Amino acid sequence: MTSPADIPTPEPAPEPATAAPVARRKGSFARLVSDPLGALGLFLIALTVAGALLAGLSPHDPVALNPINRFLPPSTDNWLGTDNLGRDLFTRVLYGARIALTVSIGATAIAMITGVAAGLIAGYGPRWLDNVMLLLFDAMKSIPTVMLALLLVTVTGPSVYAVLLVVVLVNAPAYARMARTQTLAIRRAEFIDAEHALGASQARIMLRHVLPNIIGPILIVGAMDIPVVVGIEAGLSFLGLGVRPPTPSWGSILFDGFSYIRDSAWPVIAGGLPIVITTLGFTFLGEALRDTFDPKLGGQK
Amino acid sequence: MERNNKNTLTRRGFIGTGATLGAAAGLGALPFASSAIAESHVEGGILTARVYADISNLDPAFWTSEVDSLVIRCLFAHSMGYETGVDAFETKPVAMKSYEIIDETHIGFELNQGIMYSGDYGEMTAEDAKYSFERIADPELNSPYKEDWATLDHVEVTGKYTGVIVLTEPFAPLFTTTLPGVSGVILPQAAIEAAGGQFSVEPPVYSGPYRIKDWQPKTRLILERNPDWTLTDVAYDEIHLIPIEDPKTAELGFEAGDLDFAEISVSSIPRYMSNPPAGSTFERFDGLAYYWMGINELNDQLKDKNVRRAIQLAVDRKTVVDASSLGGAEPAAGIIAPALIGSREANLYDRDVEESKRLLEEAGVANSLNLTISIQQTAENLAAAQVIQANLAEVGIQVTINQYESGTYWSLGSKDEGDQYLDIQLFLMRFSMQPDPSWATMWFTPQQIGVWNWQGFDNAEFAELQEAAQIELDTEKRDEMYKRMQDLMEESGDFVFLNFVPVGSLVRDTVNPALRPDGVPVFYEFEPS
Repeated sequence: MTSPADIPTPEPAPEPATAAPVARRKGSFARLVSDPLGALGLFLIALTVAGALLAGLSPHDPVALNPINRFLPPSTDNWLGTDNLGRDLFTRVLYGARIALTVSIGATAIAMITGVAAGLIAGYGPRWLDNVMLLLFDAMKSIPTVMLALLLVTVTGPSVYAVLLVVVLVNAPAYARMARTQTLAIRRAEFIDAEHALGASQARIMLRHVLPNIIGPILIVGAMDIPVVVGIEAGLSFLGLGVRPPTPSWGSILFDGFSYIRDSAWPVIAGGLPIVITTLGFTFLGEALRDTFDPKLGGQK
Repeated sequence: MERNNKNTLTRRGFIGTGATLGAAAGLGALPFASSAIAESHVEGGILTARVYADISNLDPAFWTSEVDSLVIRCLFAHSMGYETGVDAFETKPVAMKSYEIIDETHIGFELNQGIMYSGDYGEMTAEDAKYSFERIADPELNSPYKEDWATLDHVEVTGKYTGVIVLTEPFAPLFTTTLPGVSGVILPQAAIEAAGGQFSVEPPVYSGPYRIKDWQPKTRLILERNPDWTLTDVAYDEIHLIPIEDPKTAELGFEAGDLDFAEISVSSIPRYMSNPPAGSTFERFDGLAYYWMGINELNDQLKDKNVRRAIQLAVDRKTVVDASSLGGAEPAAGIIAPALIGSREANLYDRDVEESKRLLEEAGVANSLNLTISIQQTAENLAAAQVIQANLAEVGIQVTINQYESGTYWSLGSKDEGDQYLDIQLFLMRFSMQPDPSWATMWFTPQQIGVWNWQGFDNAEFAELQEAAQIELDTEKRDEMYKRMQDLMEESGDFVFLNFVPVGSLVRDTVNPALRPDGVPVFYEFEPS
């Protein structure tokens, strides 16, 4: 029996590399920024990235303790006030952005590369290998994120690397499944057969012909996954399973804020606000990318 | 209404209530003031209270946490109990109607009549007292609380309700912690043997004011009134105990109206003292529990005493305590609270950064030492650990903070879990306490290494003093002994004493709580106000 996902669907061959696609990309970017959600998303992301890059300019040390000045309200010196140990919250939020972006973009990129590679092999390889890898993807996907995090932290101890590993293991199977399905859809396409006839190697066909045709939707999904990963990193750090103190992380700032919310609301605001901003930014951007590049929705807005 | 009940636990308080045999030996028979069997009166209602953990073992010989002891007190009749709502510790009758100090090693007692066990186990008799006391003392049972009956020779039954506790040597904690504590619980031999010799969370018999109605692990424990209990009045039909590990969460639960009673975090004490939630009362007590940083001398990196001393000297205890308690506690000079005999007035070693650096240099580990500090994940522990981390960084020691949930944390120093008790390096620890100094020191003997003595502290003089102080009835001599023991602890480089843990409790105005002088609740004596 052949499952619907296995039915090869002819896909148009990629257009020749001429100036036309460049022009189309410029047009797409213009469409992206002309979409209010897309522009807002880009702005919020730019804000987060700028914060991360400029964190070093803050006059405060993000880990310097000053308990006498705990729970200070916002002032010209401490823009978001101070936490329970007298640390400047604004500075900690900026340094926390570095962790959040590094983990979310880094982990998503690694998950995507790993997943797409596995998906290509599964979709383009022999049937038995496809079945084995599909089973593996589904098995990995079935493990709850928190359970997996606890398991890994028990083995490796809490760290940024543990968070990265959790995210990669959780997200890679989804990318792999997408890549596999897309690969199956075009593996019997005429332009692939033509490459076979010309004697192209399997690796060349996968990397030069299959990959460019399947990567677009996966990139869009990746952009929309980033806020989820920001949430996972913050969640694990909140639970003490992520970045170790005193390294600032939005999750650990939020944990401190939750613990002392009756003493001062500012740590909760300081920990929560950047998560909201970043999550909204990447979500808006992802939706705008989908609207811009998805052929089924393209031009309908 | 806001209250601030600072207890004034004094030597006089104990002596006055027959707390030491030496003081009480000449008094002869000491009937308790009130021993009449009371009718249970029906007021009804449900009391909902926070406990910091779930129950784990309700066998009086093997209980593991203060929560277990709170529940055990509701389920089984103790020989004696502590007065509640008073400023100083005083004992009172429960199962024992009276006792008589015949001499320093012979204590006669008489039980109240009419204390009934559930099931077919009949009425409590002196035979049950003999079985229960000797059971815990039995070396073969290997109860962790056998030291509570360290000098018990045997119990002689002289009548259905009377007997004599025969000691090999005088035993100072007998009336302060053994008989009023969990080791004074009296259970029938037949029930325990029917359960296989011991039990955990499913009691084979009840003899106290309440019995278990329902237990949903990690969710709630429901106690219902025991119809067979007639010894004292019981006000609530049911007591619902909700295990909430994080006190900050408990505070939110109380303020949301979900709890009638909750012990709150130390760091919230200053805030609730000045501004308790509407419709509730806040009470603060000088608790006896102690909080310290342990340094494991069994760990390869910490075997050198100079290194451990350097760590002691690097820690700014005042800042650590202030940061973790938000000003709610003061640095301690030991593990025995100021109200008890044996309390020290000053530490031997305090912060000296230059000397700390010099010792590290001498040990050959200057700027090259990487350590871990293990903590339970609470806001207070995390704050304390971060200050210690910063203090040690000043002398060139890099510290990584490892946070654990309680179950994992409490297995870190256990020999039963393999060699991990050798791997643990620095750790923050809090022990609950009973009102006798022996309870503070008994966990640090060589026999406790790999059990509760996670420091690997191994000192022969300390062990000898622990035994000697238990049988010493002269208060001044005991005082000296316990002070010396804390000196030895600190000299070893294994301990950084942080603070005694004050207790803050939120109580709904509709509830009249029953709290010991150290703030520990006696739930079965709670009443609607």
